[in-house]
Amino acid sequence: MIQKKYRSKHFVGLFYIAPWLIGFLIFQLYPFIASFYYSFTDYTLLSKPNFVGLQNYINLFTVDKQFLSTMKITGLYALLSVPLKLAFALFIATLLTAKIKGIGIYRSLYYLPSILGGSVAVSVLWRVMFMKDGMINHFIGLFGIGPVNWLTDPDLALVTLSLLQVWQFGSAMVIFLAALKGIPRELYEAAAIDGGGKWKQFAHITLPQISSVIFFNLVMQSIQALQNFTSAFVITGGGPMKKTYIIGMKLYDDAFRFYKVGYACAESWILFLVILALTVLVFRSSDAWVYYADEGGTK
Amino acid sequence: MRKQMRITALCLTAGMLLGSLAGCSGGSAEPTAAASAAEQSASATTAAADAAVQGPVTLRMSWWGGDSRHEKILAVIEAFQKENPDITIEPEYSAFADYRDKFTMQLTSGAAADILAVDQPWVSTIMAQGDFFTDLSSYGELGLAEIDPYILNNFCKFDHGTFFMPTGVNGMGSLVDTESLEQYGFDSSNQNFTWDDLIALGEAVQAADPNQYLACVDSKQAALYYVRTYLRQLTGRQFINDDGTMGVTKEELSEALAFVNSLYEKGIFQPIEESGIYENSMTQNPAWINRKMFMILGRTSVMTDMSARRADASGNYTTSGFLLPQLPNGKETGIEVRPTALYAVNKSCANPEAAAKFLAFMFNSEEGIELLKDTYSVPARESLRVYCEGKNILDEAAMLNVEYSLANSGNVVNAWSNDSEVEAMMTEIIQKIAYKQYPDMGEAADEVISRIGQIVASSTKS
Repeated sequence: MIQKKYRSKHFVGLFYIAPWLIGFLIFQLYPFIASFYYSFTDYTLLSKPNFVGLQNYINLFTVDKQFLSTMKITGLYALLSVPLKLAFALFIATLLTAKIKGIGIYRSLYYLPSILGGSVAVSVLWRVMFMKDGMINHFIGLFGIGPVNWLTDPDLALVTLSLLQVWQFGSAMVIFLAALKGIPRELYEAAAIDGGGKWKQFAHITLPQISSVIFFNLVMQSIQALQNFTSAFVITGGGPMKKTYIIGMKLYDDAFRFYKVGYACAESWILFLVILALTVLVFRSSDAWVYYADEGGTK
Repeated sequence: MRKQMRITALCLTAGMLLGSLAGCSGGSAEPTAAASAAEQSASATTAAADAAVQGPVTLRMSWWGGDSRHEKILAVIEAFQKENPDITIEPEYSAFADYRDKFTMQLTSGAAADILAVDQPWVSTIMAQGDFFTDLSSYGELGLAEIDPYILNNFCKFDHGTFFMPTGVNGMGSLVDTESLEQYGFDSSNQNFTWDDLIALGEAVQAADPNQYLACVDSKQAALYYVRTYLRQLTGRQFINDDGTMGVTKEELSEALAFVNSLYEKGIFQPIEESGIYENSMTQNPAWINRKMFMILGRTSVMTDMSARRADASGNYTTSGFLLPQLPNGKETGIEVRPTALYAVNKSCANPEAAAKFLAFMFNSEEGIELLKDTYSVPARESLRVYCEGKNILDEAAMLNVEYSLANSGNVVNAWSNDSEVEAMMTEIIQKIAYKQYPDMGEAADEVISRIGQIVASSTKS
């Protein structure tokens, strides 16, 4: 009887999560498994896939010189954008902990860019803003600087793309904000009594207390950056000279412009393994720098 | 707490990682299943090919284009439906950039429209990989026999049938701002306009004002209309042979690349630092809009493209059609003639005779061409061209350009030379030249040859 009730409870639970579960199975798990299979084929979208063994993977590292340079650019993009985004999100979150009138409105306003997300419309806006005769150059022109070729200077284009990623700091900021508000006030009071200044309080209380959230944001934002596609596709088209040709774009081109779907699947699996390795690395390193209050500190 | 955080992070990580792979798969079984289902339905419909359309029929039709083309095709559909109340055409249209992805996915999943627009460079890839379209040769109303044989035989006909209806003919030439250029010595009556003339004209334009440039171009167009044309004129051969080997020598390639390099160095092209942002949208470059650029090389359709033709304050166009520059003693003219676009009828279309009837109305009737006007350049049928001339429907320069191009066309470009991966690579090489990344053009040519080798080696075509 108890078992039956237990089972029916399970069924109700499953029923409630069914929309997500169905979506997950169709749009995530099936493509995940299918892409693994296709990565060993010469699938072109238009014809039946033929098994080619490891040929796609071998070609990626021996024939296709673009692949490694694309991975390098993607890594550089993540290295540039993730720390900047996290630092900026933390900075804004710290400001938004202030007890001032209308703080809720400020918090909503700062979250707005993330609602807009990395959409095509925002990317188009970014492109227009950073054009030679765009708003940014007009602004820096007021200080006698520029104009700067933000999107067509091969050394600057990737930085400009990274700034768009930084601009979408909202979700990381909200998580930081929640963590900051959870830090016990007495820790700061004790530090103040002992003569600790604001900076020391930040370095020795705030950062350790929110290290678990920094860790979480670092992992999530890194994955997001490594999988980026829209901004490069819309703003620079991967140029100039493929200096912003990130792996998301190469995947798209190989699969849908050049009809090399099997090959693109192999690329996506390499990307998957790279992200997995990086994530494992960050998880492993977390023992050394992440503080969990309920376990009495870092190991 | 620690465990919970880790579990949460792990779950989210797994979810995001799965997302990275989600975009790269599709149903492999569909093409075959769709093809065999289509075959059955096609054999049934072929038997009834000559039967009249009976009962209400609804057909989906997809195409790409800008607002102007959409409006004109919608007007054709409306007129057709008035004459044929039993046939309803459901339009599905989008911009070119979105069309190809959707087209391929729909075709492979069996969800493609009944009547489809197809771009000519896609045809060889599609036809090599499946049997997706209806043979149109039995539909007399399409008037295939009257279509220019060069277009029909080279682009629409295959061993086992005629699968495409050409929308119009594209030759090659240039769009020039004659009025502005005359002050720099341009003579629009010059029938022997050479690349040297182009350079001399460009230098005169630059000398008068360093902020103005003769040619409006992006790196993709530079690869397509300057390097490729120059090479075709220089060699008379394909860029890449049918077997994937190089069709031109390193020296010939170096010469063509050096020629384009000189166009950047002499200020005939705007510096790429300024023009690069208008890649794929060069007619939106303020220098073009503000009459600080004066010439676009391209296909005939550029002569009928309203955004390229550039109207002045009183609404008059500031440009008109002109010739493609030539290399003295060239092996061929470099003029590529091809259909502006093609239309096909899906093999799984349940009413191919209704689809053929619509295509005939659109591309093989005087009423159709009056509504379409120049949206697909100049008609592929001689009698319709004459009709347009009489009615003054089409741009005269575009008509002349097509006639000239048909009479002086070069070799038909083969599949490898038209390959989209090769095109993307050449675009990158042109950007590197523009950014001065090569000490000499021999090095650039070496990179092109090596990259083509890589593309061929990693292709399923080889």
